[in-house]
Amino acid sequence: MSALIELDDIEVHFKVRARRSAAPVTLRAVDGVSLAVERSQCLGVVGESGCGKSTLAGVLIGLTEPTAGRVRYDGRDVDTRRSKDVRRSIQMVFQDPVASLNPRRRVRSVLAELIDYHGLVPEAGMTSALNSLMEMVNLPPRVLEARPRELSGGQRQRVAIARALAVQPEVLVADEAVSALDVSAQATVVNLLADLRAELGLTIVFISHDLGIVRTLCDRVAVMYAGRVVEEGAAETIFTAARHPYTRALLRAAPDLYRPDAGRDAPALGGDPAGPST
Amino acid sequence: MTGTEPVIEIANLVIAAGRDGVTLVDDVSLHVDAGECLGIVGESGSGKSLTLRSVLGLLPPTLIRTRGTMRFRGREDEEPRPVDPRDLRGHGVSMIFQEPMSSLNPTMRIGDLVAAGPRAQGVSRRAAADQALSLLREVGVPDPEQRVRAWPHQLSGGLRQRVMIAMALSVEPRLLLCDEPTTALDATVQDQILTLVERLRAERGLALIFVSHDLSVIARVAGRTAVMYAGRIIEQGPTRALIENPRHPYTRGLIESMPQLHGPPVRLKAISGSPPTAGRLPSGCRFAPRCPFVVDACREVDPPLLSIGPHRASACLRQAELNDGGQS
Repeated sequence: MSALIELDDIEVHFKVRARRSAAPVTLRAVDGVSLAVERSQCLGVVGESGCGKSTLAGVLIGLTEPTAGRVRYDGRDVDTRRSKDVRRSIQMVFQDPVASLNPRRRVRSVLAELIDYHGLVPEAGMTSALNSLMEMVNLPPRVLEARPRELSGGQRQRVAIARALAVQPEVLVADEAVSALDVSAQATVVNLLADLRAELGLTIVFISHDLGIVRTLCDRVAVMYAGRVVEEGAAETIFTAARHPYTRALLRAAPDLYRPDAGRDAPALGGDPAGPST
Repeated sequence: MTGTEPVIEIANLVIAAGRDGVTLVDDVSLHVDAGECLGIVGESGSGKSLTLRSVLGLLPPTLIRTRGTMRFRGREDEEPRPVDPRDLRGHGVSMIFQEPMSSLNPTMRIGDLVAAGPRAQGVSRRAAADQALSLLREVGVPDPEQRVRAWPHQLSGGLRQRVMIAMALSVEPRLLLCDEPTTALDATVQDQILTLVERLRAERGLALIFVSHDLSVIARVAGRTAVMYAGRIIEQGPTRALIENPRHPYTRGLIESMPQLHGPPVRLKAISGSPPTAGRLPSGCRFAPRCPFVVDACREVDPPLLSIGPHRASACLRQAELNDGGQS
């Protein structure tokens, strides 16, 4: 079976100037990334600030035009000019629901507009479609009448997930989708994503800096550093037998509740994470 | 450093939104010894940062400390004396913050920022500059001779946090308050900063209060931990014991909702519901509506934080049943 999403040698370069008068230099935000995601798989993409993981998310959902390389979805080449159907199929959940939800609109109107635009449900079925969406993300139906500011952080993020699910996507790209939440709310949203994957067969690309959550949720993991994937493999292999020194350093640096001193004898990584190369 | 006598003692702290306003921090008492790190863990709105900020009187203008006393020992051989928060600023107590960008004056060079504290205490320009240089070296800023001329925006987040720590140390504090200092940093940089904080505590015999939402960060730096929920300390004890054998259902819930890096991957156990809004607390125990161990009595009395053994305290009526993994 061929993969649902294939990234083939993706490069995203930006021209940047240090000062207005300076000659532009090329910033290689993503520098030759090839990845494949099977249907119903959850791929974790981990790395630190500036490693290119969010730029890669932009490429996946068609917001960012790659400088080079191909994106294939379900066997066909796709670029930033996508058909309505492909756009519908790949949805994104952002880190900050406060910024990604319109503060002036009630949840009902945000969701109904999307469903309407894609003509997914006949007019008469709208109410039941919205109610079942709320049920899917474990929110009471009254949330439909709320505006984002009236909800807690965890509820808002579940609304953001409902927004993505409203259009019946195949793929969910979650970019640090639980990072802004408190631990208990975080656990609720992580469990929700795991359930949705099991129930709907969703394919998930889960971008995060939190290794523990990636381990809980994902079956494959790609580790990015300075625009490249430095290691990729089955999640358990990455977590138990990492081969790349950077992966090992990341695992070592992650604080562990039960082993606060784990790896303290191994050398720590000095300096700052390398940004994109120029 | 023996560290048997507390550097600071806070008793019955109450913080409210105005004289008759909503109570945000309710009857919090704590102490820290020299060379000891006390961790305060809790979720947003638990009152952990307010508690910390009140030590230096850095509460937002709408909030006031309505009750509570604070005693501070300026020197090892001194008796603890009652103090006002303002007396402690630059004299014995320093603080580092979460956002090293917004906390550093962008119009001052690094060297001048670190020298500002000693200068304010009357140290000569030259001596203060020398001190700044050696402090920057002590906190691990590479090439400090060059970096003293740099501006904050030219540094990475990790280096800015090191500069903030150097500034905090420049007034020779006995107590360092840390308000989520690594939350905005990448994992490998967080690791470096935690190692630095650890080293400073050990080498300088600093007393530390380290506030974080992340219990695994607290586990790394703090020997003793207080867990806050809805404005109260609900459990307190040596960090290892508290994690291995939590005696309050909220602490237990926090631990079980955290993803682990070792052992078989397991589904996370979320705590149902969300924390109460200040001013709309449930009757009885504040955690009762979300608690898997709740019984009728929990809704009738608000259990006080009681000692349950050496250095341990819990505010749960059923704490004894939780001992060593009681089931709900």
